[in-house]
Amino acid sequence: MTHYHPQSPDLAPDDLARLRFVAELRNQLHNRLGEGNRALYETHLAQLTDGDLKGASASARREELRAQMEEQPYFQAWSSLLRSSQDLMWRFVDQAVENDLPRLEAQVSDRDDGLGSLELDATLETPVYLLSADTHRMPGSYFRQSSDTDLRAGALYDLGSAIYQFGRGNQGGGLLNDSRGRTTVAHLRRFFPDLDPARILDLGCAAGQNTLPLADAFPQARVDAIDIGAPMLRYALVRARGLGRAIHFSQRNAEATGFEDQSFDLVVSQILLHETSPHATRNILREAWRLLRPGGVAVHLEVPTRFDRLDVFDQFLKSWEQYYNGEPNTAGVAAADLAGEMKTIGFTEVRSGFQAILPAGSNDPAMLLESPPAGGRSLYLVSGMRC
Amino acid sequence: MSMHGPTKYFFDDPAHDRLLAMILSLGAELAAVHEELCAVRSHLAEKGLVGASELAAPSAASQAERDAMRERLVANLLFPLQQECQTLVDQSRHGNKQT
Repeated sequence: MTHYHPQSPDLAPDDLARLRFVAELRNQLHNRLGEGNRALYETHLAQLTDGDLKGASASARREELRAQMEEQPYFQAWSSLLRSSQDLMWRFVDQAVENDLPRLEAQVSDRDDGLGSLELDATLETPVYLLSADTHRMPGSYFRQSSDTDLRAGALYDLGSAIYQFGRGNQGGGLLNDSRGRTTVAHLRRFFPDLDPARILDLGCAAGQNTLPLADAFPQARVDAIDIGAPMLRYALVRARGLGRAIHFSQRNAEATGFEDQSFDLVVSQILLHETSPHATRNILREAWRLLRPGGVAVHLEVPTRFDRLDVFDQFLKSWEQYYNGEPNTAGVAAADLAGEMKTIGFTEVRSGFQAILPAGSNDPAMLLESPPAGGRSLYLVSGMRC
Repeated sequence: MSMHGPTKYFFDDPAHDRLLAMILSLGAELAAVHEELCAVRSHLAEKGLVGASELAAPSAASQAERDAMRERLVANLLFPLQQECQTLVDQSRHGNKQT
């Protein structure tokens, strides 16, 4: 049996082999076969979408291109395989978790050592943008549960999201899958070197993978982390305890957290916004402002797709996850002017750009670039200070 | 638990999508069998025994061998699509525009 941190599901050799297969399959679909779609567009469809639709809005051109691409056998086969590989990944992760569930659930009481805390709210309404489909097709999504001790969703997400990253060629976080949190910390060290927060809030923390680097970077701070899903948070608490970190988890909506005004020095969201909606994104940016004390900092870290840098084909292809893979707001965030929104709200020192994912243990200073760095994975960050 | 939400079928006949999904399942099973066979074979060669520890924690060399084997297996599975991809890329590079 293999397990990669104390709370993770035990993986039998055949579980591991299946998951490695899925990661390799996804890697080849993206990195070897993805270029066939661009070639198909350039050879067969560019004239249509660039010519006949000249003057149409970007979203209208994307929709027309989508309709055209869905007629193409190459795109049909590539998409069907990629979507099937996503479902296969969750099925194998689910089987591994299911086999190990009694041991995982026993750890809830075994690890009740008072480190950190958990506060659930059974009356919290699930946002409408999470109801139409299970996010990234994870069965049960973040919030469905079979009992008031259920932590299955957190275990699924923890393992599945790490495998997903491997399948995108991002090994930077390993199976701890914390490269986003480390990227946020590198950003803060570089651009807000004097920030010494007493209270930190992580919005939409999921299984808490990217919360832990914040706690490590600011060991004197109290770290709160919120999510919509009770089974995610149950798992996140035990995971954090197993890894020796004190995080205070609570079940809240990032659009309206219920925390008091000006009660935090640092508020972050890490790959949250593309799983909400355009309306919720604006609410979350405003909520971060409300929660910050003067001098406090907000950082929002997102997937690196920015429509203003892409032609219509790449806009379309980067929307694949939203069209077919249960990501509710990939295109919405890619089109949004997050830095402009933050300035309108009143933030100062607003910065935005692409930041490379640094390897674990790297002390290289974070660089905020106007273009995604060539030859490596990057994330898009926007940050600002409340004066 | 089953997945909630709409499922897009990319082919005119949804059976084609399902067939591809089934082939992927078969591929994964094949990969699992290959890996276990590889583990057993290398251990037998070394000690004349089959040990569970070898299955769970292969040597770096054995793991590298398995990784390379998996990469070849996936490439073979995807070969028909890879050929089509190459044709499209060649057409695009040579300006063989079609309407």
